[in-house]
Amino acid sequence: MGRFLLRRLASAAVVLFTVSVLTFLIFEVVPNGNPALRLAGRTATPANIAAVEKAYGFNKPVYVQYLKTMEEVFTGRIVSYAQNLNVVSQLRQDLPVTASLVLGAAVVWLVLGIVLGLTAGLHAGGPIDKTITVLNFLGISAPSFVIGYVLIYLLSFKLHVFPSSGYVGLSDPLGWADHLVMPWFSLAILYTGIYAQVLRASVVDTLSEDHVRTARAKGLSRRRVLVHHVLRTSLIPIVSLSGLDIAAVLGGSAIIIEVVFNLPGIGNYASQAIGALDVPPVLVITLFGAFAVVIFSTIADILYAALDPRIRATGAR
Amino acid sequence: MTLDGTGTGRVPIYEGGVGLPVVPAGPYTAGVGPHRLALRRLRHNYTALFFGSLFLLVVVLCLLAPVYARYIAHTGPNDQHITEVLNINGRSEDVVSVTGVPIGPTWHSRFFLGADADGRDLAVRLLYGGRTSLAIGAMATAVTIVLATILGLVAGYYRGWADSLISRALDIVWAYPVYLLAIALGVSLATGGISIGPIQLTSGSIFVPTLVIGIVYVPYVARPVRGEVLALRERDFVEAARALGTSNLRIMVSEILPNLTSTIVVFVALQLAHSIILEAALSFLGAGVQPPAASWGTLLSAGAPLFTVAPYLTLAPAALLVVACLGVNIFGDGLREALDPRATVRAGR
Repeated sequence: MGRFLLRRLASAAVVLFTVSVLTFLIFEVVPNGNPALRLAGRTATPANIAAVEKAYGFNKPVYVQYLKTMEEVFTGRIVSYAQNLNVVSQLRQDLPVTASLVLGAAVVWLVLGIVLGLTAGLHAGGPIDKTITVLNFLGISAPSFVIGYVLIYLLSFKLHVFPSSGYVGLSDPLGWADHLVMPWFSLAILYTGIYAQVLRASVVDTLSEDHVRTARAKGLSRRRVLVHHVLRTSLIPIVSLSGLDIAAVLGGSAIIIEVVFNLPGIGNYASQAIGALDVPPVLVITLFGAFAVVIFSTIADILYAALDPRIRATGAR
Repeated sequence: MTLDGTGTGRVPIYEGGVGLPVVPAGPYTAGVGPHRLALRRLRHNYTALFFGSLFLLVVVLCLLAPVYARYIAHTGPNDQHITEVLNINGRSEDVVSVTGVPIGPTWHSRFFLGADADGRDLAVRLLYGGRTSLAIGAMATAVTIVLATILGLVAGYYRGWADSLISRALDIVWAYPVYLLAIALGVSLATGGISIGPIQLTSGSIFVPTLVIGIVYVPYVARPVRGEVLALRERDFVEAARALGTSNLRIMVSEILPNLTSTIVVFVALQLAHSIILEAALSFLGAGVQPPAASWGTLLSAGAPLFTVAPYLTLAPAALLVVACLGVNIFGDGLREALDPRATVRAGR
């Protein structure tokens, strides 16, 4: 186990380092043209541009710029181009909104996915199974922001059930939930579909396994067999998936949903920075998003290895 | 190699290995290849066929966009009619009202689904946008599949340092959340364009989002392909080919690649849906197709600010997008089921 842990951590460190270099290159080097030109404004004189280049260090070699940027990111001193505001403190302010959104959505998709997947798996082949499968595919095929707009249209403008936008802090729990119900569902429907399909397949497989038949044969109740023998085995892929998916949503569809529902979270911040071609916030958010995925998947791998000795021996995923 | 009696050497693949299809003996099954069997299974999956044809219908409609624009709507996708007044059932209505609200669906040949804020015919833009979205989806899928197949083949076949190098590179791309990487690349390329040797992509080109979408999905396809190649390379027919002195390239192309077709076909369908959705998301955030070019994503993003007064501007492209993706997703699932040899075959039909 010790050797596996060491190898996995070393490879995570290599990936993290490469990710940071790549992210930096994507933003600082790939775009043709000098960022100083954009920063100096439209009527800049060559002297202005040179001053901006000097102030931001654009005239230094790329690796110096990289080290300087990383130092600023990790000491929390990086500021945005657009308003010269500290990026990290802005992120800290936005984090509770994004965390409420993503964790709430994860609860929704886990509960719904397990209920739907279990129901479909137990009725495999029947009309209930087919209906659920088509619904799952509908969820997988509809982009989250489309679902968001349809929900706003139906529930806010037609029926006036939920507010269409905005965020209320946790100090007002009812208002908080009221404002987040539609964003949660918009975000969760895709993953509900995926999880229900995964769980359904897993339940169908497990139901035909020997240990389930044995449990039934020795006279255990159907309910007990389902909970202790079927669900327990079938849930393993779901649980390991959800950690990764939460990280992916943080750096993915949460951005779009925050824009749709006008939630003042990290995603909205990223979107505004993208619109203004403001590189530092996008760089930091991309970097942290990628870090989250690497760290979550490393933890998942280590947990897996702790549970299953075969993985440790081969190093396979 | 005639493992399955067809003389093609193609062996269907199921999870965890390779094997012959489990086919109940029947008068029609003898000497029928696995792909023929798969087709037979697919032919009886009416759900998959229905949704597959739904997707085809959307494709055909979008391909006919110029015909619709010319002979039915009598306007182009970028023609503005802001000041025009329409005569609908005896009433005259502004295409765009003085308060800036565009006309809703008229259900007539002109402005069938209404107009957008610039007085452009929404139905025409929807179909032209569909062409862009579908084209980007198809090309991005091609990029993903070709790159992933090559990388997966090389990594799985040669193993060793080639595998380590490719797998680590895939790990790195995989580490980025798909949307963030696509947005990051989209933003940086959309602002500056890119030049790789002789290929010059300007910032407004639709090849920028195509390339971005194609690349971010490579690890999701390359990893399973590599896994299958790892299993296939240990099979007897590969060893036999090697014993005959067949070159590595030839073994990969004519022995292993044909056995990957099932997997690749399924991924093509899945990736098509994924790519279309990612295009919409990217364009929605302004990092994909650049206006005034229409795509489902740009239409959604243009409609969003007017959502309260003109919801159909958002709902129409949303509906078409969902129908297309649903169609290709369910058809793809049907394909997967048909190609899975463990699925029960109704022989003799």
